[in-house]
Amino acid sequence: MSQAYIWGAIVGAAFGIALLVALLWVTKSDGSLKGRYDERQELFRGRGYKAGFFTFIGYCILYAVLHDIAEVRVISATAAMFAGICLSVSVYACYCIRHDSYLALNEKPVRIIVTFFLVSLLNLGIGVYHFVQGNMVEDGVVSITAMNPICGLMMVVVAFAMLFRYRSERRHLEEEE
Amino acid sequence: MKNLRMKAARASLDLSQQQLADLVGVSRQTINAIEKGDYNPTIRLCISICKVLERTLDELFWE
Repeated sequence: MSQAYIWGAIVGAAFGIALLVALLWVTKSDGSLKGRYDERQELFRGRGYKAGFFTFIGYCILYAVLHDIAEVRVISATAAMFAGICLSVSVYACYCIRHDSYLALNEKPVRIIVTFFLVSLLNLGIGVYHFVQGNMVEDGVVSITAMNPICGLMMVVVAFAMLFRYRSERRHLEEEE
Repeated sequence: MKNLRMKAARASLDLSQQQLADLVGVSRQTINAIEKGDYNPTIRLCISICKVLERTLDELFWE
């Protein structure tokens, strides 16, 4: 791994942490940006967290069996763990979306859906770049450069789930009128 | 079990599910779930709904 890559990762991580701290500070200061969920949404979000948690547990067990017992080593450990995290987050998000508990009461669905699609395109684009450069697979093992397309795929899945739910909601509102 | 009394009370005030949800401070889907009988609200939410719909707890939620 080159020095430039390492420095790029460090700067990227530092920027991400700084952005997160800034977002948390802004939402805490007056509370208006903080997500508000009603009691039914909180209930289903809790169930969603449970579903995501057990999905991750199952994935880790499966990875351990494949990696150590069956000796199937096609993906690096970092990329595999990241894939597991993305899978469990997707399960949580899709469960919450299915039960109308993903978006807070003060969040606009269209803005979130567009943002998710843009972020997924960005990550998938980076993934295509790495694939074309030949960095994706090293010595027959999928490298950590697969993290971007994995993240992009997760965002696409969640974005489409939100889009379908949004359209279903619009249809319901039209029928009610 | 469906809560038709709540639906009727809402209709009598000419409120949509979204309007009732906004007044109570919950999502439209929560109001829908309560009316369809898919969700049992807490007593606090029941009281909030009763206040907006100008009904008593017995009238809307007693079986």
